[in-house]
Amino acid sequence: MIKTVILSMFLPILAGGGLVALCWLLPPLRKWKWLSGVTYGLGLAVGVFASFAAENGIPEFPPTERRQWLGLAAVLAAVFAIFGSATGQPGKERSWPSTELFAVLAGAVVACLPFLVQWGGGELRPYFSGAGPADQIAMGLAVTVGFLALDRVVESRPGATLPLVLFITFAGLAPIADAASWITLTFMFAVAAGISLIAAIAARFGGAPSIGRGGLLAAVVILVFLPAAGYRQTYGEFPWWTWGLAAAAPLILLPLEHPWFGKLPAWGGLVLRLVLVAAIVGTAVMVALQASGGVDAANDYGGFN
Amino acid sequence: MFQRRSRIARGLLAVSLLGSVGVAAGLSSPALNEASATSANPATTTAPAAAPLTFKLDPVHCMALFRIHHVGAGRFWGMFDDVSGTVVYPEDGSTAPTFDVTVKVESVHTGTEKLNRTIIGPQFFDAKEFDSIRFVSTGGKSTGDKTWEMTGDLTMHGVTKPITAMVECTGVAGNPVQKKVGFEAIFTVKRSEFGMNWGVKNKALGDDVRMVVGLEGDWVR
Repeated sequence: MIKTVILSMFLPILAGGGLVALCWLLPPLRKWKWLSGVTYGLGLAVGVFASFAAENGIPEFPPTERRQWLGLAAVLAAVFAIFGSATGQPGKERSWPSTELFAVLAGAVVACLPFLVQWGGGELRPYFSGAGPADQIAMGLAVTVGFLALDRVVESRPGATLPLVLFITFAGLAPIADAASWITLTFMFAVAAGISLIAAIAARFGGAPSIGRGGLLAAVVILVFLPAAGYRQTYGEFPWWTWGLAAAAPLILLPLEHPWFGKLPAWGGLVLRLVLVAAIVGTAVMVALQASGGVDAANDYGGFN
Repeated sequence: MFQRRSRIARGLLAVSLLGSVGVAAGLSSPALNEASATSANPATTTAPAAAPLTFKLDPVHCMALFRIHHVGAGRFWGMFDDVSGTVVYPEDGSTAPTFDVTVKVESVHTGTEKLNRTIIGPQFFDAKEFDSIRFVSTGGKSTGDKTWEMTGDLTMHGVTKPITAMVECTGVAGNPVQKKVGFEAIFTVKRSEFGMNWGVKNKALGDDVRMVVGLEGDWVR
């Protein structure tokens, strides 16, 4: 059991979190702004991919099984992290409309990837069981809208705020995935949460770097793909919207960018943001666990197997 | 005069009835039975093998049990309830049976709801994508009295592999118009060969899955 937890959770957290900590804390690396901006997204992608691979092996492309999309989503997150950072660093003047165009392009890739697989000679199959083109379009739209909505927050909130918000979000999705009885997904969310927590600590002591547009896009891709897979592929006995509510919780940061909230002291603004996100995620988690038979039932077969 | 004749007729009828009962009783005596059996024996030995009958599996009395090693410690059992299909088998067991058996993955039963969901979920069977397990026999070699080493193709989790199962006919029951036949099959598969790798490398769960399948079929005339 401990071996499973080490291979699927601790080592991936160490790999992804270590990458973030190195790039954000070591002074010679901190000088490179582009590297700083791409680090969180890459670290997240590396950790989530490692967690998937530890349990299921290296995913094939085109995937032979639908669950392999989880590993491939991490690869997509890494690619998006690199290209997302290329659209410009937060704090610098934005070269409109490169970010918007990139958001639309990223959403289109997510919506059309199964068709691209078919175009490449593979079999046309939706991402997940019971899903169809409508799901793919919804996922693509979620990536575009999520990225554009939070891009403004990335601009204005460098430092630990966003990593902490993402930590709460991923940490909340892990017990929901466990309630749906998908161990791989539980570990992947736990790894994403661990890396985000390390990023928050590194940001606190590393001169408040931003997760960057690349990091944001990587996080959005993970937050769209993994809950969608959890909803479509599992037999969780809780309302479908709990996945969406938890995954969309960071969007509450957008209305909090209103100038009125700018009057709050820095610590007050941070606490307000964290409490609101935790309340939304907590609601989703409680509903999922209660509907699945209560908190005690989450571990009623004695562990992860 | 008429009454007297009638009495004589009734007496004759009674005697003849008694006589016929005596003949019937005599036919069912052990001695006669032995004789008829003896005279029938040569015919049995030279008679052609019984024609194979088709049996439809009775889902109420069919189940597939599985056993797997957990974290290198205990072996736990689970069961699939929904088993359907057909068996073709001659009553006298002169040839090996043929099987086409389908098991609905969602019918898994371990006694724990959460574990049931884990087993049918994407971690293992991924029942939303691969909803059934199917075994189609391809041949059988007799290993004793109504026991066979059956070969066949097992399709599970979208992968088809040849397997060998030890099969025993546990009995044929019924009458000329209604028959039931029972079988028990035992075999072991490596789940990793069917793409179910979770926990094999780190030994969280064993790779070998022992299956005990109990089948009962109703004759389809």
